[in-house]
Amino acid sequence: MKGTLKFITPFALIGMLGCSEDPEGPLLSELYGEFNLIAGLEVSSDAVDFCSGESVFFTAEFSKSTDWELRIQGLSSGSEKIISGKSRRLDATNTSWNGSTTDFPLFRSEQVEITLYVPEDTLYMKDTVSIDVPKCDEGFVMLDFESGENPLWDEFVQSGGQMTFNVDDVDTAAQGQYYYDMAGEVDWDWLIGYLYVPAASFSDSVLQGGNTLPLSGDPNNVYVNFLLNSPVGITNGLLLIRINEDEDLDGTFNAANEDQYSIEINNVDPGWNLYSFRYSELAALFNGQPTNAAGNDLHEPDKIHQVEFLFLANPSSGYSRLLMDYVVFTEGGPLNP
Amino acid sequence: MKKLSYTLFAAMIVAQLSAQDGRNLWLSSYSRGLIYNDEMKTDGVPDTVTAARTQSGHALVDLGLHVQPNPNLEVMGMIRVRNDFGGFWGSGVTFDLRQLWVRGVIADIIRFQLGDIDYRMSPYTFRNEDEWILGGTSTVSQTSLDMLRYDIFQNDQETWRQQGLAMDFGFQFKKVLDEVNFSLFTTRTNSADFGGSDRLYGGGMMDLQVAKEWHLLYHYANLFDIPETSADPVQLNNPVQSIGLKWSRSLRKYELFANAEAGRSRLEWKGDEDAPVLEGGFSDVEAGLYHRASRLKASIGWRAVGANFRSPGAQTKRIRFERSPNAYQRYTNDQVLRPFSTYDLLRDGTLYNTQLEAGLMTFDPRYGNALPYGTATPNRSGVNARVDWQTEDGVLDLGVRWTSLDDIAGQGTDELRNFQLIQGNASLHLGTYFGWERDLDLDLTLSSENTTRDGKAYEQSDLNNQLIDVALEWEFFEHLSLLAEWRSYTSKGNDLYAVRDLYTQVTDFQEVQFDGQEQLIGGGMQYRFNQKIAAQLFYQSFDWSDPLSGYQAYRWSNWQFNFIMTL
Repeated sequence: MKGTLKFITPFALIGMLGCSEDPEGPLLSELYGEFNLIAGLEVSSDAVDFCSGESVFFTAEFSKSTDWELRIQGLSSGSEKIISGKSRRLDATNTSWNGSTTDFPLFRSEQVEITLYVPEDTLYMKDTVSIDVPKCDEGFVMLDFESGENPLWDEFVQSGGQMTFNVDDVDTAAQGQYYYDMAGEVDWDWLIGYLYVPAASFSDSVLQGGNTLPLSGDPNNVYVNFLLNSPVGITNGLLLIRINEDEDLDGTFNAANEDQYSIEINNVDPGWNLYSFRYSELAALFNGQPTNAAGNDLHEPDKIHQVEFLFLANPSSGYSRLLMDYVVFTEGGPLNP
Repeated sequence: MKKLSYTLFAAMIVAQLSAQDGRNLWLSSYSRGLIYNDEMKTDGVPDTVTAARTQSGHALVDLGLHVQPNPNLEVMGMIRVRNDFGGFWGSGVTFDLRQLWVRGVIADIIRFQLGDIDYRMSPYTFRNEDEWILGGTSTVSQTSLDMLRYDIFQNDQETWRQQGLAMDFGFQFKKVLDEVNFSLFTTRTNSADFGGSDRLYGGGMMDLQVAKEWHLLYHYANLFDIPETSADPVQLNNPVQSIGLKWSRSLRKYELFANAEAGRSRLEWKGDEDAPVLEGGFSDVEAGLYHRASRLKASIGWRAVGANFRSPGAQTKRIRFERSPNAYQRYTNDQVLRPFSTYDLLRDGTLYNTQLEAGLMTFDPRYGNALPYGTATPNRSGVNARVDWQTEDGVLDLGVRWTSLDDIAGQGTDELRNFQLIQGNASLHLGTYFGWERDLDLDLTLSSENTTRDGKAYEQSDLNNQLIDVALEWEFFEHLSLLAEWRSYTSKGNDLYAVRDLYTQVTDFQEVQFDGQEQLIGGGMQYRFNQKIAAQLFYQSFDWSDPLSGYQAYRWSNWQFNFIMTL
C-alpha cells in the first residue's frame, strides 16, 4: 500500500499543479437565475454640457444578466435616444450618452427624462437630467434656419395654390426651433419653388476670404447631410439638390463648363429623416439621369459656390409639401446626430 | 492518362518479374467496388421536394509501388484510381497520389520515415482516439465504416496520419540502465499558402528502461507557428510535456502492472496582447492484474485533467460536428439542412477530421458528453475500471469498462457535473460451443453515458446517451454467412453546452435538450473468398427522430453491394 502511494503521489502532484477550481464561464445564476433589482437607476450628473465634450452615464444593477432598455426623452423637443443591452450592470461602459439622438428632432437645452425598462420583470424606473448645452456637431452648418431667412438667398415660388416657402416653427423642427417649409400645388410645371443658397450669403469670417464654402478639398472625406420630413399622406414631393462648383474661382458658376453635382430625394417618410451622402459619390444629373459633368469632372468640395434646393412634384399629382432642416457638411464621416 | 496506364501496366509486369527473380520491387493494393441504392421518406408531411431515391457507387484501386534499392531503404508511392459510376471508364475517373514515403535505417542505428507517417504517443500528448458512439458495430455497419476509416487513415492503433519526418534510435547499456530509446518527429499541419502562418507539430519521446520491469517515459509535443511565414503577427505556441512510469511483473499465477503519467501544457498566442496564456496539467495512474488461470484481466485507475489543459495532438476530435452530411444534405419541403446521425457517421467520410486542430473543437453532447476530447478531455477527474474475461473454451468473451468523472471546475456554477460511462460487450461464439466447423457468433454491445448535475433548476443537467447493438453472424454454408444487426442509439435529457471563444475560454452557455431516437436494422449475406477478399449484399433501414429538435423524423433505407479486396 505504501508503495502504491509512493507511486501515485508524485504524478498526482505534478499534473494538478495550478488546476483552478473557479467556475468556468459566466455564472449561471447571472444568466438563468431569479431576477432582482440590486441597485436602482441613477444618473452620473444632474446637468450636462454636451457641447463642451461632457457626457453622462446611468447606473443600475440586477441579480442576473438581463435585457434592458434606456429611453431618454427630451421633455421640450420630444427627441428620443434609446440605449439597450444585456448585462447585469449598467455603467459607463454600456450606457454612456454624449447627447446624440436616435429619433429626431435633436435634443435642445432642456430637461430630459430617462426611463429604464427591463422586459423580464416589466420594471420601469425614471430619473431626469438637464441639458445645459446640447451636442455641437462638428462640421459646417449651412442651414439651420434659426436666424430666419437670409436676404442673400435666392428664393422663387411659383404662383400656384396654397404656396408656402418660408421658415416656420409651427411643427417641431429637427434641430432647434425653426425649419424650412416648402409646399404648394402647381398644375402646369414640375417646379413648385426653389431656394438657392450662395456661398456669398455667409459672412467673410465664415468664408475666410474666399467665395466658396469652407470645406476641405478631399471629396472622399466630405459628407452632405440634411433632414427632411414629409407630412403624413403626402408622397409626391421630390427634392432636387444641385451643388455648383466654381472651378476657376472667378466668383461665378458657369453651367457650360463647370461641374454641378446633384442629389434627388423622393418618397420621404413622415417624420424627420436624416440623409447623408459622401461628396465623391454624387453624380451629375440631367433630367434625373446620370450624365457627364460639364467641367473637369473632379469632385472639389472646396470649390462649392452655391447649393440649390428645388422642390418638385408631378403637376398632375396635386398638392405637395416637404420640410427641410439642418443642412450640414461634415468631414471624416456622416453626421452622427 | 495513357502514359499513366502504361506505367501501371509496366509496374505490374515488373512486380510479377520481381516475384520470380527476387528483385526488390513489389506491389501492394487495395480495391473495392460498391453500389448503393438509398431511399429516404419523412414522417408526417410528405417531402415532395427532395429526390427520395438515389443511386451511387464507385470502383477504386489503390496501387502501392514499393521499391527497395538497398536493404536499408524502401520507397513507397501509392496511386488511387477511382471511377464513380455514372460515366463510362475514362470519364469521371480520378487519379490521386494517396501515399508517398521513404523509410530506412541510417548507419544501422537510426530508423527514419519521411513523407506520410502514422504516429502516436500517450493519450495525453498525441493520440487519435476513437469515439465510443461508433463502438460495437457489426459487419453490416462496420464494412462502410472501415472503408471511410481506411480512406482517411484512421485505425485501431489510434495514430494520426501526418506528413513530415519521424525517426527512432536507441542505446543499450550493461550497467544501471537496460536501454534508452528515442523517438522524434516533426510534421507540418498548416501551410502558409492557405492563410495563417506555417504551423508545425513536433516532439518526441524517450523510453528509459531500468531493470526490465520499469520504464521511465518522457513525452514532448508542440504545435507552433513559424514567425514571418505570413503577414499574421500572431503565432500560436502550444507545448505539452509529460513524464510517465510503467511497471510490470510476471508472477506464476498473475501478471501485475501499473502505469502513471503526469504532465503540463501551455497554450499561448504570441503577439496577441488580448490573448490569455492557458496553463494546465493532468495526472493519470492505473494498476491492474491478469490472472492466468481464469483469463481475467482487471484494472482500476484515477485521473484528473485540468480545465486549462490543452493538447492538440490528443484532444483533436475525429468527427467534425459542425459539418452537414453529404447524403440528403437538405430535406423536407423547406429544404432545411439535415442534422447528422450515427448512420451518417458510418458512411460519410466528409464528417471526419484529418488534421490536428488547435484549441477545442465543437462537439455535440448527443454523441458523447463525458469525454468529448478523449482521455485528455479537460476539466474531468475521477476513476475508471476495466474487466475483461474469456472462458477457457473460447465460447464467451466479456468486457466491461466503467468511468466515473466529475467536473474539476464548475461550468458557470460551483455545482459539478458527474459523468458515468459504462461500456459492456459480450461475444458468444455458439459455433464453438456446439463444436461446429463453421462460426455462429452473437455479439452484444451496451454503452450508457449519463450526465447529471444537481442544484437550482437552472443548474440541473440530466442527459442520457445510450447505445445498444445486437449482431448475429452465421456461416451457414462454407464461406457464406448470414448477417443481421439491430442497433439503437438514444439521447434524452438536457445539459448546458459551453460556448467557447477563439481562445477556448467559456463565454456563454447554450441550453440543449434532446429526445433523440435512432434505430438501425440491417441484414445481408457475405461471401468470403478468403480472409482478404469478400463480396457482400446488405440491406439497412434507419429511423431517426427527435421531436424536440424541430426536425422532421425520417426513415432511410439502403441496399448495398460491396466487393472488397486487400492484397
